[in-house]
Amino acid sequence: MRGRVLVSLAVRSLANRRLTAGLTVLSVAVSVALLIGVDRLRTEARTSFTSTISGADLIVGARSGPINLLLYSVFRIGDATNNISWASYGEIDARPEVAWTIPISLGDAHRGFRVLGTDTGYFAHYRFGRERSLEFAEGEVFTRVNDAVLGADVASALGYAVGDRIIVSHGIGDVSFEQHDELPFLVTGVLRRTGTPVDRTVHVTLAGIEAIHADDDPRQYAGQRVDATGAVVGALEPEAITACIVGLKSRLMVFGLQRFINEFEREPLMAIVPGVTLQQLWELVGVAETALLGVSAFVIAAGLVGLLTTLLTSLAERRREMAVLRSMGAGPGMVFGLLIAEAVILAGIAAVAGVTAIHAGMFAARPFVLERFGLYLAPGIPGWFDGAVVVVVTFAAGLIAALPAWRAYRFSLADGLSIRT
Amino acid sequence: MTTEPPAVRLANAVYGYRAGPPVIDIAEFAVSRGESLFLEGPSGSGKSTLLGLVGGILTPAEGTVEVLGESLGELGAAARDRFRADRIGFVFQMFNLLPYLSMVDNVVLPCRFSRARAEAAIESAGSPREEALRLLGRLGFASKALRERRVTELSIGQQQRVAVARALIGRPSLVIADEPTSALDANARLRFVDLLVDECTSVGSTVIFVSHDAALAPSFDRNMSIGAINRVEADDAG
Repeated sequence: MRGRVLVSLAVRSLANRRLTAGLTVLSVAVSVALLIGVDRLRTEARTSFTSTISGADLIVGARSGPINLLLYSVFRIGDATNNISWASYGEIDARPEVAWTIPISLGDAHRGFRVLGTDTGYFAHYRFGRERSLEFAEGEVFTRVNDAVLGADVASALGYAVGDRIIVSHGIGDVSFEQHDELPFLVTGVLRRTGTPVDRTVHVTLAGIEAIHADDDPRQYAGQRVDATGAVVGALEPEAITACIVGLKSRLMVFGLQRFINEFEREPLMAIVPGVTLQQLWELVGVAETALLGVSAFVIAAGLVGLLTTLLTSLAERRREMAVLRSMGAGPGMVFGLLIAEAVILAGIAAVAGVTAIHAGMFAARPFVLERFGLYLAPGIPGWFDGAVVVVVTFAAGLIAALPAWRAYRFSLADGLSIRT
Repeated sequence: MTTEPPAVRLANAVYGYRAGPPVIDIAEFAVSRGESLFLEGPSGSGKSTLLGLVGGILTPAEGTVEVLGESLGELGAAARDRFRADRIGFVFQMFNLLPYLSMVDNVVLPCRFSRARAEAAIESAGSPREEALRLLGRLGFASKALRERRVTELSIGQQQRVAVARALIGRPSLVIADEPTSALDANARLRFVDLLVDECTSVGSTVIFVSHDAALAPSFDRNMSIGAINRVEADDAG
């Protein structure tokens, strides 16, 4: 009976102070939403990062460090120390366990964006995220030596559309001394946003890369169709590529082929399993996510301190209320319980509101986040983590409310029935 | 007089705060059942301490305090809280009402703390709520519009009348009024006191009315001053 009276009094008393109570709920709810949001985002960011490239079994490059190879072949960061000869690439491509290969030729840039020479297999086999393939927002795949397909960021940052002509420079700087302006490239396609480094890449044919480095006038190749491999036969066959991505017929063959490539006789090569190396790389950059989670936990602590302040400041004006309750037979223990109940009710409402708001918000923001940041947020159903946060926040509020509750208990013992203001 | 024990009886009751000197030392003080007593006590006469003892908030260091036949010093703290909830109604000087409850809910509140008073209210009017409405009607809140006002919007006099209804609900055997008129103007005081005494008498409750305003004394069966029963000098008492 007293328990019900207690809860109903706590609720009515909070409702009467709805402005301060509401603001307290808001601050705790925001802090809970922040924590849940950070946790969701870091989970999604990790998933997204570790699946920057998916569906590929091996990445092959000149022998260096695995992370270095991953950085330049997938993230377009840094440069290759050496190349793979065209003949070696052909040998790997011809292995019986190989289903497909994507050649990658790097080293040039267009206005700060990396240029990548490849073949049409790139658009057919490249996968990212949860096995998503590349899609064209506009236009189509390249078919001629001087065709180019742009990543979404390149097109939007530089304002390019299908039909525009662009100039590729040697080297990767924004401004290069040596402009290959003899052979303009024609934009034939723009890719949909992926949220991966593909968005910041200018894709051209291997033959196109050869053409701009050719000693004779590259314009003679303008408009020539490339074959299926992306290299025109004859003069424009590349001597070397930077790296290649390999897909196998069976995952079981990964380690066999990896050993074959690592022990390659003609030149020093290296093959990495992208998933493994991505995981290693995330362990390097992922420290920030833990720090962020730690910060959000402190924000919750700040929210709870706000709640504590609200309860403590309300005490002075409520001493007479306590005396009235005492006169009606409420023991000092009930006065203690009343304040604990208020804190638990406030924090409970706030935690549930915070969880609900962040899940609803993230659900609503899904299309925007996917389009803008390429981050796919799985439709979130509140899980055990959310439940744990609600329970811990509510419990913590009940715990810290022991301070104002104890003060109220002392007041009510000292004041008895005398009403002090 | 019946053979019932008196409403209140103090014998050689001594109380002092912490290690300090006693503020109350009463050889003999008794209030009969159904009596209305005017207790004149200037501030500093030990009034709050006396009411604390009778209300079961404080227990005497020496001697006995019996209320309605129950020796409060022998009861535990929780039992004294329950005793107070069941048997005593209080009206204070001001700020009697909880601002977050409606007028009716304020009056019903003692029934939520005490099953005995809830049952008495049900017996009287069918439900605590009906009993609250009945009491409010008798105390001048017959109009529904008036009853729906927020308690913080009531005048002091109206608040005090609601407090009387709350003290009376569930027919407590003892009603203690601690300077309930000090915030009222002179005309309202007399009317309020008469209303209080009439209502208490009609339900058979004993009334102890503490005030420093001797002009109110004629409304009561008996009057006495705390100074006359407390052996501690007024200036030393709390």
